[in-house]
Amino acid sequence: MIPLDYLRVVKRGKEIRPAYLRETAAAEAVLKAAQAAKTLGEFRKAVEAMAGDKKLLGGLARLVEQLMEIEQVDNRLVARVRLEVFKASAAAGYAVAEEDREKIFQTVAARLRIGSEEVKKLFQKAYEENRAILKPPSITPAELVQRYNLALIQTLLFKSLYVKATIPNAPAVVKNLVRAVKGLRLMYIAEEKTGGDLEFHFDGPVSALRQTERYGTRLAKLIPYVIAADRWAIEAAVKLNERLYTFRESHDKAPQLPRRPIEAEEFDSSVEQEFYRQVSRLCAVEREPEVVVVNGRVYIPDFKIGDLYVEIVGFWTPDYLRRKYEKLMKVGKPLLILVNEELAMATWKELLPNVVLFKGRPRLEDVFKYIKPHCRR
Amino acid sequence: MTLTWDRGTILLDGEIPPEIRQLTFLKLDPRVGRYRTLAIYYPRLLAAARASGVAVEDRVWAPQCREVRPAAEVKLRSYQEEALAAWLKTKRGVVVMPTGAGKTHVAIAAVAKLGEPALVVVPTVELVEQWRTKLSQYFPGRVGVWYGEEKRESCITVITYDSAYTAIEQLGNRFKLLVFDEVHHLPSPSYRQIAELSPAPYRLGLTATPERADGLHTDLDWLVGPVVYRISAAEIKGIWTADYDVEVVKVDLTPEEKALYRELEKKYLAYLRSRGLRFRSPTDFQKLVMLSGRDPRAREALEAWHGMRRLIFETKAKVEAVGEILRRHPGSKILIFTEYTSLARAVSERYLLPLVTHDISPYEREQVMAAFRRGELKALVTGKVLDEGVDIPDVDVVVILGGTSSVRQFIQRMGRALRLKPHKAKIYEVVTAATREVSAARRRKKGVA
Repeated sequence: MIPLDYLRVVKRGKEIRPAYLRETAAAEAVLKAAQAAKTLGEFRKAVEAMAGDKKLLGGLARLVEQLMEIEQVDNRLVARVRLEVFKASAAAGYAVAEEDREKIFQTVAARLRIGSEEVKKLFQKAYEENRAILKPPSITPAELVQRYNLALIQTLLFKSLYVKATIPNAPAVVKNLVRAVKGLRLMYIAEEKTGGDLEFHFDGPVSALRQTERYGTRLAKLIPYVIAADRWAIEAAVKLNERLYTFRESHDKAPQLPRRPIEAEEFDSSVEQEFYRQVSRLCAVEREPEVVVVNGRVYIPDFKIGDLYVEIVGFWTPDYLRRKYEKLMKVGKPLLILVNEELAMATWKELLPNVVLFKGRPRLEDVFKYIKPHCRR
Repeated sequence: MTLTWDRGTILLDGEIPPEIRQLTFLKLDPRVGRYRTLAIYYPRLLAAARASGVAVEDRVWAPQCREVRPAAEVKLRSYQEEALAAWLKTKRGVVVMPTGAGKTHVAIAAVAKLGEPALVVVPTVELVEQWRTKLSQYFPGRVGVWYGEEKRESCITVITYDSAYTAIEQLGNRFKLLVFDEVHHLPSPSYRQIAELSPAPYRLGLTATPERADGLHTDLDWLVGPVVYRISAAEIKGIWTADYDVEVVKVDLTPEEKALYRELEKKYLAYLRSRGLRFRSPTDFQKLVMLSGRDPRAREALEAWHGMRRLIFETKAKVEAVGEILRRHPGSKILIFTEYTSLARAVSERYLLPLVTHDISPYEREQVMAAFRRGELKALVTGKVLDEGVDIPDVDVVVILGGTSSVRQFIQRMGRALRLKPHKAKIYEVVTAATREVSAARRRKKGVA
């Protein structure tokens, strides 16, 4: 993401879109500058001297800076050396004449027992632009353009009031997305569209009370999770200079954007892994088969055997199981809940008929009678 | 009716009688099927429930700690005592006191008196450190700070406005008392959300100058509470007694700088004339900024204006003038202010003076400030970082290298200079001759007199 100052947009009436970069020349120039520069300051100066759109070049430079490896400086050492210099200067009545500067550096060098050139070098390291570029970013201009266009979308969303996203029913994508929503302390409402796609509406707690840009930066961070889907469309309300615009984008209209690979999901627990191993010998079992929307919330069952959803529960209370059960009843599919007796957080007298207790791990002989009617090979 | 906390808002559950439902600040949130309100309305909601005899199960709070007791008695001067008493009547409101009158002690006494966990919101990292040190004297081991990399919550937590803007969603229901240092910052569109997303019934604002140019200070009434106590510098014995002597030092642009200035000025004025624009107030200037969004010529004019400003504020002659002042005051404690960081840096590098600006690491800034307080370092150059409320004892000389015509900034800088040993303070104002800056300096002083 890049700061709002570098945002470039195209407005048409109430519609707004980023002014995407469609060619690689500028990206190439900025990357070249990064390769030629020895320090951050040199790089910044080189970019500043380039002819062209300042916002574009500045934005590209920001991204490049985020991607390069910059010398790490020991702030404590630098501060110590500088303080010595300041004290020596004060003791000498300040470096009022130019030639006093040299003497002051020499005094400090003698005191710290290092060369005076080393003192000067460390003195200058307090400033970010004097830090060395150890490794310029190893990406192609085309890749930089992709990153830049994604950054433009995200930066535009800094000023968004809400974001809507439509994606296919893909459990792995949705799982990551919803996890990100929780991590960013945002809220969502999901809806199943005709055709099976899922529509999400993202905003935050205060959004129900008033229009707010409060969540904009966080909404922007959701975009990589949305565009991880094979197909996607987003819509957002964006408030820029006190005016409200609509931003719409989709996978088939947007320029190519960098996509983060979806990591192959590990099992949530060894209990699940073991259950899968055992049952899959007998029946066809799908892991995290699909996203189910219940009252605007998404729910991804652990397993599906034929029509039967199977859910393995960690810590639980009878109340929690009842609520979960009631919620899932609305989906209208048969459900089996497996719960670990040892993880009960409250006492219980009686559990719902489709709840099976286990100790340690679920044993096939205990659950088979429940899954048998759904079992197919 | 049950109240719960949800990231800056309060959710209502259970049986909600119609007289509560019709409260204008409640809204039914269709996403969760429950009534919701901004956390700031929590005390009003409780009062309304009490008035209509509704039983409330209050699950809003997850307090940071049970109670806060000071390890030492907080001794107050008589006017600080009065300020505290005035605030304690409603436990809400703003205390207005000049710089150097000991606002911090009023706040410490308020925390001690209430005995509730407190969140102290301050504008800068420098002030975080200062409050931490002072609070720790009275509440050892119970003070945490929350900003940048360091996020450690404790019974009393000191936080910057910037960090609090987001963190209030996590921290809001942990502190029953909010203290806003330099509270005139609070009414801005983003910072005000700190007050709006907190359920804290007790709120204390501190400032020397609550008034804001944009008029938003009237919102302080509902965000924090009204001004409950106000005392002027003239009414306090023992501070502000140092007489000050302002000397305006005029410097000339170098010939090259002058030529460039005239060229930029020509471009700027030509555009204004071509559009029939005239500037009498800062809002008029906004017109040019707005125009520059569409009109490339307006953009050029604006760039020319920035260029002129930079020349005036950063001319080499100002760096030279500092040398002369340093020579004139050997051994004095000198504080140099600049408008632009780049000039501060030029002065620092030229005379090897410590620099306190945002491009220097917080660690070094902390070390420098400590050495300056101890007197091991005698002169310091800074941009806007130290504009507010940072305690620097015994400053003899203040040098202002250009600034804006904002009266607040001027008073604050003076306030610091005047926290003095009992001898005459000297203030230098270095302005560039025969440019717009001279009139800015005049405006500045008019506001003070």
